[in-house]
Amino acid sequence: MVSRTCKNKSRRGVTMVGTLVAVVILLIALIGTSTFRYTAALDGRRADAQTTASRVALLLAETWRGLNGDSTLDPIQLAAGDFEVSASSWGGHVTPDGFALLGNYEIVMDTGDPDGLVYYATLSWNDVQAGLRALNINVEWAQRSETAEGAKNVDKSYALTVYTEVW
Amino acid sequence: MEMMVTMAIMAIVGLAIGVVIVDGQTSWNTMYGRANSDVMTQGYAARKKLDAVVRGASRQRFMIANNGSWIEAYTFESDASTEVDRYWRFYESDGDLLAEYGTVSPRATLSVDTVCENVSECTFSQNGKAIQMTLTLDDGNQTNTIVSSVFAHNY
Repeated sequence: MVSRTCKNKSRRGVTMVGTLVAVVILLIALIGTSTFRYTAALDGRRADAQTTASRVALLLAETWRGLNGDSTLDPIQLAAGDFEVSASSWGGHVTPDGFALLGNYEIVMDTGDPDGLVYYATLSWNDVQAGLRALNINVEWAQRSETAEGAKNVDKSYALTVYTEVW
Repeated sequence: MEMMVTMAIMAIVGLAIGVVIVDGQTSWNTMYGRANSDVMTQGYAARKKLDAVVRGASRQRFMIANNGSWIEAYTFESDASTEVDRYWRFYESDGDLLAEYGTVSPRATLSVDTVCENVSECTFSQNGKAIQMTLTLDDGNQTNTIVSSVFAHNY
């Protein structure tokens, strides 16, 4: 009887340790899976932001080219519905050397989207030669931040230069 | 006592794991939807279709509704065409964005394609030689606003 009692106590101890080991293994597996999903979702969001930035740049470039690089273009007039374009007060806009600044703008693709990012566009132009004008569009955004203070965390940019004939 | 401690540990861990799993799955679904849902892919398709048509269209001639509800671009059937002889008309009808293709003279419709569905708003405008499309797609669960500008390359 004494021997059996000791054996039972030993079994209860093993059960506790076994449970904890199982929990740890389960946690490692689930944390690994969650990390993978989190990273995938984050990368997807970053890719989405970059795709949108390129679309914004293309939108501005094509519109400007449609007006033959007119130096009086006002992108704010492109705003329609939930698509918002406004003058930017952000201090990080940089105009490329040799280019004349058209304007700095803040662009929101969908004002109804609570996760929507603000894109900061710098439009500038340079007469490369007589009759040929280079149009530069630089779009920047904060991929690390979604807050109202996102402008402080701007860390990505997409630049596009197109050429147009000037009449 | 040991059993109760074990159960308490398992309950706490299980609850935490459950919260993490649910949150992770929700985020995953949201992100997947933002990238691959119908309103997103259809938006890309609409933009590409407009790009393809307007880039090949003549910049000499566009027709656009006063309220921006439709646009008509004119193109060439082939390299041998000396003047525009085909037209593309984009318009919204019953929640679909349609692309109508036909001959200019005589005026005849050759085909009508559905570019995308779930259209809640679609307006066109013209800026010089560029056409702008503002398209909002809404499938009830998600909304996608596409703003696209296309520059016509051909004379």
